[in-house]
Amino acid sequence: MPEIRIEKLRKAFGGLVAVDSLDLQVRDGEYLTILGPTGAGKTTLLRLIAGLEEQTSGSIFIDGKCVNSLPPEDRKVTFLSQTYSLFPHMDAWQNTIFGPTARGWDPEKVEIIGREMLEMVHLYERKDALPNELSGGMQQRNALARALCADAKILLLDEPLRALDARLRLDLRYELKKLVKDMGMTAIHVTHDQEEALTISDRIIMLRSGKVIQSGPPQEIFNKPESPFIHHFIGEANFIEGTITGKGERGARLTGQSGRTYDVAPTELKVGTKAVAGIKTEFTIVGKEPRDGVNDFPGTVQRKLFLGRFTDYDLILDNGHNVHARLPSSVAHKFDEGDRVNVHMDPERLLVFPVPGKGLAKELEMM
Amino acid sequence: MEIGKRISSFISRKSTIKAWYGFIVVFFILVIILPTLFVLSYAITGWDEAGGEIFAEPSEPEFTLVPIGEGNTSATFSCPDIIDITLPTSIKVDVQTDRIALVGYSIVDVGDNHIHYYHADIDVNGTQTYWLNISANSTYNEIRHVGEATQIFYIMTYDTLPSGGHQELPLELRAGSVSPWTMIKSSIVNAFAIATVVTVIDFIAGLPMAWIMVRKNFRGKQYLDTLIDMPLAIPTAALGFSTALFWAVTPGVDAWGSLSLVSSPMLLIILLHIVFSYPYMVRSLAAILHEIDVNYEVAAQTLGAPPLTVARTITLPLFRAGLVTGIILCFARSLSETGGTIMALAMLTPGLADMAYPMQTGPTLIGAWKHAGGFEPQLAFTSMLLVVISLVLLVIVKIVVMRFKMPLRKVFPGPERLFSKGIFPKLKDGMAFAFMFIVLIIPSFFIISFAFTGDPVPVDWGPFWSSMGFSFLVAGVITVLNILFGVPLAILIVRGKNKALSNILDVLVNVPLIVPTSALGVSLGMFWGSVNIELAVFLVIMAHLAFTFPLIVRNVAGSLEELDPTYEETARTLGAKPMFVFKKVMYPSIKFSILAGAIMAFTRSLGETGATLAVVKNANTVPVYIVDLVKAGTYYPAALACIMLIIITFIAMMAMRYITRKAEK
Amino acid sequence: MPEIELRGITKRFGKVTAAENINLKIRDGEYVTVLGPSGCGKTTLVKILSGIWEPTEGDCFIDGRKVTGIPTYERDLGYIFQNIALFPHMTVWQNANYAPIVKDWDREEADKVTTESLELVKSLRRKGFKPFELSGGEKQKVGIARALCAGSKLLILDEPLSALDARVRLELRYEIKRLVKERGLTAIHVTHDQEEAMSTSDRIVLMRAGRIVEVETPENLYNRPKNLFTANFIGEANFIEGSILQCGTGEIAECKTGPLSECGSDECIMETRHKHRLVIKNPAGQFKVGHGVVVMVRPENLSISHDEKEHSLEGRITDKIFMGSFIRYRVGLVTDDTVLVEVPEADDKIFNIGEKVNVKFRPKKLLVYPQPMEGLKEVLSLE
Repeated sequence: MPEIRIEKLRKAFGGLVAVDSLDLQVRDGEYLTILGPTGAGKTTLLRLIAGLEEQTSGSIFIDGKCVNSLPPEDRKVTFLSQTYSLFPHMDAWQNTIFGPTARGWDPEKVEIIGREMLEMVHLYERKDALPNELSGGMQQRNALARALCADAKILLLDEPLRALDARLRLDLRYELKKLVKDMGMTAIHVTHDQEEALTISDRIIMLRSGKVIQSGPPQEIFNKPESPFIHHFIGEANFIEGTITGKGERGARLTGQSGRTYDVAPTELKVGTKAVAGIKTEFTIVGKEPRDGVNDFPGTVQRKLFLGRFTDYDLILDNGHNVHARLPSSVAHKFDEGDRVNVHMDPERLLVFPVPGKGLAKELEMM
Repeated sequence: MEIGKRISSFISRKSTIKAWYGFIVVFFILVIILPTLFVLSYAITGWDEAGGEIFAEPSEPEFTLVPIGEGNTSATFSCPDIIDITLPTSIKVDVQTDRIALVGYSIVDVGDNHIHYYHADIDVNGTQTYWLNISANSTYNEIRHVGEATQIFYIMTYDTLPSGGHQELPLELRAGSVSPWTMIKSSIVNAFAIATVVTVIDFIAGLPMAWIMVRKNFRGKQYLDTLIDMPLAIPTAALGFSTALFWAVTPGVDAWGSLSLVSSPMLLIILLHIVFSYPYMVRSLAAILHEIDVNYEVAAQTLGAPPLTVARTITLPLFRAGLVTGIILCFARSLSETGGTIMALAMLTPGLADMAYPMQTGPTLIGAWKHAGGFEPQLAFTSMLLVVISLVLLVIVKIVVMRFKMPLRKVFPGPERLFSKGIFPKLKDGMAFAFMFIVLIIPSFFIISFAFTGDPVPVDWGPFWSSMGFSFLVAGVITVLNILFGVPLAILIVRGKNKALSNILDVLVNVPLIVPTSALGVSLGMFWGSVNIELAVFLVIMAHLAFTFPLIVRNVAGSLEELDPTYEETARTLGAKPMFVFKKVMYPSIKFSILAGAIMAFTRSLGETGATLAVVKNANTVPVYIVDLVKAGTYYPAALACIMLIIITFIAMMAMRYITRKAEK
Repeated sequence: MPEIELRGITKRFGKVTAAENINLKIRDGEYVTVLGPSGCGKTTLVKILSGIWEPTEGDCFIDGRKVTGIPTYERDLGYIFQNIALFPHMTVWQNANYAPIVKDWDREEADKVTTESLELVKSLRRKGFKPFELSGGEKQKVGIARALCAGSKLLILDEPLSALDARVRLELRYEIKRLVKERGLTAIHVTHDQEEAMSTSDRIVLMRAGRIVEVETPENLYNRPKNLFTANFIGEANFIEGSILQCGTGEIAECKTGPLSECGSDECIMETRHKHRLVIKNPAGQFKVGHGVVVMVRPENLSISHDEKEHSLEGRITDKIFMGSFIRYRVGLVTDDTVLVEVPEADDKIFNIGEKVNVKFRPKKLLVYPQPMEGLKEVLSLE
């Protein structure tokens, strides 16, 4: 069964460490997403697994077998770039049977398996079409059929949807996952798009500066981020800096720099330690009236941005704090720019973190 | 099947691939680079031998003042101090007159009392200097006696004063031997001066044309594209013939439509060199212009900069790399060119021996000396100088161009705005086109006019076909070798894991391109001579291989760089062995550039004169054959041979265009 | 003040028509986005407006002045590029300072404007950097500053965010909108990203295959799209095909659909595939019995339950995706249609894959369109 295990993997280009003693396990049939900002080492990790780069140290095991010294063609993993790397001079059929032909299989067998795969992705009628004659979605299906045909059960996808139109991306990411699952493949998908990661993955690996900073199913990454950076990267969060000053009504209490207190989620941080609390903009609730007196703050709507499904708000609280909120558009029509509103932050959702080493601003930097 | 599989897995083995690449690198260094630069070793091994011979200044020559009277007058002098000469030698003659003067000399061989005349019809104004190079066994190989010879110089003037009257004029004649160094120096200075002027003109005239090619869209653009490349399809010897016929005062031959304007050898050679170097300049500039994102220019325009300002502040500064390539290519081509130059000189001053031309460039001097024989130290020394100066110049050009800063701050909004609009851009484009037609296209094909209007002479095609056979043999062999060794080297350069090695190889590949082909020929001859290989065919092949090798490597490397490596990587992860990846993924994408490189190498080899002349004395390739015909004054067969050669190379060129265009689709 | 008008603009490249008879008016100070799939002609439009290309037919007017034939550098506009196109041989400062220099402004004035613009995009501290030393987002900020320095009141943004990371994109789009509004500029923004378009613009020009499909505010495009392509492109949508079975005559008893759904006088009953029924609104009496119709409904306007029968169709959950604050279900309906349903994550009821559910189609949330002649798939196609 295709199962990947990575131990203490490290890759340095000269003095630049792209992947830093990384441990990772990918289960059979899992759809794993590697998410992180540009330069986090995502692509390098994929290339190491594929055997296209040689690691500086550490080991990679596929199905329990160490593949450190295996050339790419013997690893049975398929690497697909942004454009899926369909060979431009070959038609859909030739692309599909590339793997078996390269391995020198019996032509009759190749014929059967190629046809089976192309029919599975509904492309058999288009088998004579060159890649540039296929639509984006067809190219995607062709590439998957080719990978499966090559007897590869592991797919490495390097930002596969990046080159597509935004709207098309929404449709194709669903289709991509469905096909991968239908074909029973294991996929590792690299992206910098947090929404894509949330919707497509069984599990997300957050990568930053060559290190895994969190790993878990989308829900866990979204609801229980382990650092302010992750909290802010997946969705968007409002942050409050302050000091833990005791117990609140439903958790801990945090006193902000302005002296204002907030009830925050339970924390293991001791009273008196400096801390950062953050809440996702989706859970920063705007209403006409205060909720229950806990974490209710009066404020004014400064700006309103319609996004379709959601509407984003920029608000300024009376305590001087700027916050963002994201509301479903169905309730958003109630509040306009300049309106006085109440902002509620559910203490359960106001997560507490120790103050990051280099300060909050540095921690949250994306670029 | 089993065996095939085994072979393929053996080939794909990492160690096999490494060994193969190792072999390619060793081959490249040993067979191409080392022989090309072997002449540099002469600085160490041959210095003592050469020093005395090259720098030895002969005694101060004597002056004789001769008054010349009215009418046809001739004066004959004997030069007492060079009565006993040891061959080979060079003699310098200074003439001062304002008439049309016939300068010549004769040698009386004491042994058989033969008298040989050499003369030239030259328009002399002020003082001019001629070298009369006499060798032991030159083309006039009746002179076999080395030892005693009597030199007799005579000057004849015609009675064609501009004023029409008669006048008594003093005629000054200086005669004496000169040191080879003087000749080398002046020939090299000539060569570099010509190359510089040619490059500058190419740049000035080529820039607007490159601009038109890349940034403008118009009907018939692809024809213009072909038109610019046309001179490249014509062997330079034929180009020399055609260009000289069009521009120059050519005694002894004329054609309908000939301008007969130019009588200065320097000017004629410049005009000729522009013809075949201009396409290189336009190509390199266009290539880099193509690379420069047009958005930079558009951005500057949206910011309010008129086109001229954009060109000065944005495009030109971004353009340097292309400029360096263009300059180096033009410079090297001009510096290397031999066949056409000899042709032009021979047609300006018919009947002269190689060494008696009123002007020499480095390559023509090498050709002449090699032909005459017995000048080995001089040849080696000249070649060495050419190689060294070329390489140094390459570095200097690179540094200067990269360091040079366009004034950014200082702008001239008024004039630049004015010249960006209205008639000026049209004028500029018009001039670019006019230049191309008058300087490039018409001179290139003028030879056809001669074929129709010249006096037909019965032609003996035998020697032509035999030389054609030889040329094709050489070109064919080097093309095969180029593909065999050039493609793997290109792959190694672009895809090699060891970046340092790739970079070094990348630089080294260009060396044979920069070294003047005559110097390369001399160097190669020395190298293979030092291991006792003197087989003419082999030497010619090796020489041609050296200077065509970069063409194929560059071509393939260029298209490989364009090819996204993820295709190969994907293929590997799909289970393909390296050999299979090459065959199925890489090869289909680069086969057209391999073919293009091969055809370029083939035509280049077919047209090359300098290296051939320099590596062996009596090589029998088509260009050499044509040059000899012209030197002998048999123009009509020469013209027909030229046209034949043009047709053949043209067919090859068109095939290449057809194929590459098909590839683009 | 910049007021833009395009009159009958057509652009052909050989046989390909990139834009066909485009008429558009943009008011002073307006932020307009030209949105559409790749190859719809949106970039052609701004290239013609900025004078980079000349139109085959038609004219552009800036402030009532006909600009056809006037070269780009005299049109007085700021242009921001997808690939940013910062001059690579110049520093950040020199880049921003370029327009004032070529326009031959007073040195002091030029430096003042440059400083101001760089400050505005918070990049002044990077002024000595060369473009290659900056990240993508920083580069585009400088690109914006450079365009602002030209002092024009008209800003053209040609896919300014497409080359950037998703996250950086989000931050920069707010930044751009803020700048445009603060400076009182007129902006024309080209993008293929519907969310970007909605979040930045006052009005959206939706294009397809060289033609304008619809010009509207983001709210209207999303909530009340005038045609099916718009509905699908501007956000995800569910479509159900059917035909009008019966139209309300005011007599409620006449038009029961199945057991529970009622239809009022301004309503119709639509029959879907496999003869299921839905009630739809028909306010102006637009639809008559026998008409083919397509119903569009946004995923967040559907709800699912186990027992709700009114206005509902039965189905089975085939997929469940966690989307942060909400959960998206994919439901295979009895009509053989697949619909997306989005419910807030906080909802108590979590359904599982394979479960049988009822999907509720509230008539007032449904938009109804006549059946397109070319077929639904053709009309919705994004490629």
